[in-house]
Amino acid sequence: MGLEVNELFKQYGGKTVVDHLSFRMDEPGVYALLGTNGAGKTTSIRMMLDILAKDGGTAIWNGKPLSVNTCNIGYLAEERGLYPKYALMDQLVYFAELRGVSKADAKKRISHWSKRLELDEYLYPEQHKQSQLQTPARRGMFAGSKKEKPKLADQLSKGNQQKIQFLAALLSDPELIVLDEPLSGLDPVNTDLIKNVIREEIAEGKYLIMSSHQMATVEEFCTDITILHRSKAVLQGNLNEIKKGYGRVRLHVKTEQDITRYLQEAGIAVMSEKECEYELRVTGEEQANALLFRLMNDHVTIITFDLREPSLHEIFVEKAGEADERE
Amino acid sequence: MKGSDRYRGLKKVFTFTLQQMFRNKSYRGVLIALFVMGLFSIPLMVLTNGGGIMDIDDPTETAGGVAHVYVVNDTKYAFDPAALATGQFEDIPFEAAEAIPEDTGMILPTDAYVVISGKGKQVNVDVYTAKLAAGSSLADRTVALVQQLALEKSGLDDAAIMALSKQVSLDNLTESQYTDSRKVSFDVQYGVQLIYAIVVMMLSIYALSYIAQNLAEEKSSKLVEFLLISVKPGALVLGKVLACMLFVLCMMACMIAGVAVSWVVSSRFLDTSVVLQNFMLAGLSSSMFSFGFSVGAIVVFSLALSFATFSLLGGIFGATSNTMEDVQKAISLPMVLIMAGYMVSIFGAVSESRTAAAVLSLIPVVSAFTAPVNYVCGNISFGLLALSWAIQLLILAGLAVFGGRVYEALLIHRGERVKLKELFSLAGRRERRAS
Repeated sequence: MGLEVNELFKQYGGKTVVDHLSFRMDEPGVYALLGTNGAGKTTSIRMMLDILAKDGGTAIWNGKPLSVNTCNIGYLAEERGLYPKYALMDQLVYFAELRGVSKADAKKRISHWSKRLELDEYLYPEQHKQSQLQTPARRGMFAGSKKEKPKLADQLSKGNQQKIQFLAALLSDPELIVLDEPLSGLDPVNTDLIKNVIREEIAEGKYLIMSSHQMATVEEFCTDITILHRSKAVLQGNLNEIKKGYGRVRLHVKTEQDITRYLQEAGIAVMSEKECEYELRVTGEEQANALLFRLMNDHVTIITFDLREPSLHEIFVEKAGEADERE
Repeated sequence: MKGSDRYRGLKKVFTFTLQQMFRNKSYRGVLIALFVMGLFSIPLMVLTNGGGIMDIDDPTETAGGVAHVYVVNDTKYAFDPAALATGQFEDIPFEAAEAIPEDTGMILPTDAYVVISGKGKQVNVDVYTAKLAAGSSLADRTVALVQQLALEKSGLDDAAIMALSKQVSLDNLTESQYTDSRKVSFDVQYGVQLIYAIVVMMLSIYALSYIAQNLAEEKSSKLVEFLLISVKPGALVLGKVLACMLFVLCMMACMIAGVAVSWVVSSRFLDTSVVLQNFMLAGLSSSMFSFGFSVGAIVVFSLALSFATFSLLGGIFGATSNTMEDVQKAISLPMVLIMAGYMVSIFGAVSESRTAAAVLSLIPVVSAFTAPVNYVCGNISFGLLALSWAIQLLILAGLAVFGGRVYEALLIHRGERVKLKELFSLAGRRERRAS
């Protein structure tokens, strides 16, 4: 059960843009589709969701072809927008109704998410104004001022528009949520706000597919990944197992003295260095321990010594590089 | 894909689009402007056609400008001039006169002379008035009265007079004469063609530009991908097309309502008869509008066909635009087609050749402007009109299929506007994949 994507294939004018992509989600969680720009992430999502016709392959949800008829889908598209000149509330009710949500339910859900995503000021300007007026310092200052007009999309900042779009994706209380670059363009405060909502959705047992090239963001949430590079899947599987497979080979060292000599003697590859702070690649724990022993023996002041698995970013860059070399 | 799935969400898209169009200030402004234009139309026509303000208390206004009627009876019938004072002339004095004054300077412009003369069994009625319409009406009344007097004098009872008064007409025609008899005059045909072509052109141009604008707006809002989760491309485009079509019909209704209100109100204080007179002189008589239900149905069906065809064209070309700036370029080709159809139909109406009428009724685009008019005016048979409809229906179906093939790709297309050649290439690509 869950989601099963088999051999998705797409060509444009003879050029393959998605090359037999397959993956599955047997239980709720977050699946990440990662890749460089133009790797085929968005096209894969569009085919899965039946927005774009497939040249081959299937997307199955609980044994049936994935579509809005078989699955309640929430989608935050990569290309985001709102009708600039229509009232926000009208648009949201319309989006919800298109997903089969009644007008009354839609209004309740909009109200809930509006509070959660701190959008009351834009979706309920009149109520927001009233609540502002109840603040003693402001009482009387705006008394008798004219009624607030419904807000239009083009009166909102880009970040707030993005929150509205995120809200729209959740209006049908979806079981499968597809988020294409969900945090791009958001400020840190709003990023945290959205991240918290994503965590809540995961906790509620939803299936999430996230597409991004911001590895750190995805790494926070995802359990399984597919890395796409030039239309092909170059790495797939459970993120923890992939990392374990690489072993603890990344060493971050910060000292008070220059340790270049020790690194050369130990034959350790330096990936980056800046003011006695080193990003190193070691062969394993033994090599790292040997370095630590020598530094301590020579009374080098160690501020940080962190041996860890490679980050998703590092895995991604390595895999993309390998794929380029093969081609 | 099931049909119901293909068009799921169509009603919501239609309702939302229409609702937003009516909420939009500029769209509402257009409706109001058309209504106001309609309101001003009749007073403007009256004033530009030499009419003026009517004095409601002046009975001559209702009597077509006639203030006094003199009846000269040179027959043996005892004719009471007051018997003519009925209907629009009931408040006008009718008086017997010996003859029309030889000094015409004595005759006022508001005077009318009815001269009844006879030689043997022949009776002539001549009416002299400043205005044709009033004279014609006076002559009709006088002839009817003289006929009744003649029958009474012959000693017939009322029943026999009534039976003889029933008018029976006889037509003895050859086939070609019969066909010719169906033909209306050149003036009427030109008038009908002009009015019909203007209506088709207005409907088509408005539909084309509104639909194209709406689709470009949808694409430039970058919402399409999000919406396509809930609705299929066909339903999204069709919902918008239908909403725009209804809005355009509302625009027409506003204008017609404005003209109707204007007519009712204006006729109370303006001399609207001058407008009718000028229409009659231009060949646009009331007989043009008395074709009956079947012709009405033919005209409505033909209008609906052209409206739907140009609306679908608007849908396809609108979907090729990615920005509002692209819209004008995108609709230039269908706009040229509409203008060409209009111009050819107007110039074609000058020709009295049946072959030309048949050809113009079958050529796509032009036929949308000409076919029903040629049928109504007796230039083509119903069979030919049906063939013209069949061709138009085929084109409409072709456009619907073509649109169905390209909408998906067009809606999520980004970048430069899709050119016509690429449009066909997109449709071909879809076909290959389907096969």
